[in-house]
Amino acid sequence: MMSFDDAYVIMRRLANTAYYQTLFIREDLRVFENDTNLSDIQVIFLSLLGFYHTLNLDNNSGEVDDIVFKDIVYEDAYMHWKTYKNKKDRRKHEQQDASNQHRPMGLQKDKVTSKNSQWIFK
Amino acid sequence: MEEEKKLEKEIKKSDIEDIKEKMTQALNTGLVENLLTDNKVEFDYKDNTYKVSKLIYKDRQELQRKRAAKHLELLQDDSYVPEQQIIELYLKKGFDIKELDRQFTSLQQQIDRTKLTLGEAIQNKHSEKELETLRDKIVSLQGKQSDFSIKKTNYLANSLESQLNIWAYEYLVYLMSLKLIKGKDLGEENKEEDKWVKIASNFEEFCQLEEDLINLLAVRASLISNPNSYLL
Repeated sequence: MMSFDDAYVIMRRLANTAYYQTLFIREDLRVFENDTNLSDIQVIFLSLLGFYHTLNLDNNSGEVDDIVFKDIVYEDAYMHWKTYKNKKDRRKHEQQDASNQHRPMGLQKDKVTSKNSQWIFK
Repeated sequence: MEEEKKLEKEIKKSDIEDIKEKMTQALNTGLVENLLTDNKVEFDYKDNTYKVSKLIYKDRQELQRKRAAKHLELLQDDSYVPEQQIIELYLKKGFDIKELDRQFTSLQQQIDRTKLTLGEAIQNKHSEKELETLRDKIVSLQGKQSDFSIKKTNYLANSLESQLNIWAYEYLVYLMSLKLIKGKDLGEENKEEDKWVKIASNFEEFCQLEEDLINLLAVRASLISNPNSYLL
């Protein structure tokens, strides 16, 4: 009898196929026959499609090598680290923004300030 | 010569196992793909067609109502012991079940930390050997975590809550299962319409169905509707 874990491994494999990734990206194609009232397996599959979409984008842009696809533990670990890093970066920016609010414009860190135009009076 | 024959026999045996494994995988993949297509799935079993479909609101309400009634029934029955009492009984015998939870959480923290290290190592193109060592560590921690989870489930298997969850899960399968009644052939290309009806007229009748059929229904039902969302 197939367990949920067995089904999950199969879903992961299917989610990263060109067929399902294409269905996921193309707005004119449907992944499922039903558009609403999704079953639990369908909800899980949608999140897996998103997971592999992000992973493939990173791979295609050269952010991560093909080795990430060697093992599902690698895939999970990379995405776990990426999420953690994104959160950390966002928090850092938020803190910078908060401290910048109390500084004069010219002294603000990490802010690109354009050179003011000058009026020329003749 | 004899050894060669023995080896040949062993190879054939392993080939058969391999083919069996591949066939099971193909069948399971087919089933998963079938289940992904829609929020319902049909299958044939011994000349009959069955369907398992996601519960509608009315059925979900029925399940909640029946589960609540069953909960009260089990509470009034002295042969069922609540989980908390079992935990206390084990503690008196010198075994702390809650310690399993603490160890489980601690393992999860270790897994998360190792995943971060591995993720960063993948991004920074560390050697394959280093990546494999980290992966093996994660797999080993997950294995230990799974052992704790199984142990806890076994210790609490006879608790009132576990028994109620098993009952609710079976009731869920019953509510999700339908059988096709084929319309009679009226002759001259006329035929009565096919009709989907409940698989059994009541839960007791459902429990009398063949175990193989119930298993086929249960696998499909548990993937369409995660039983955990209906449990305590």
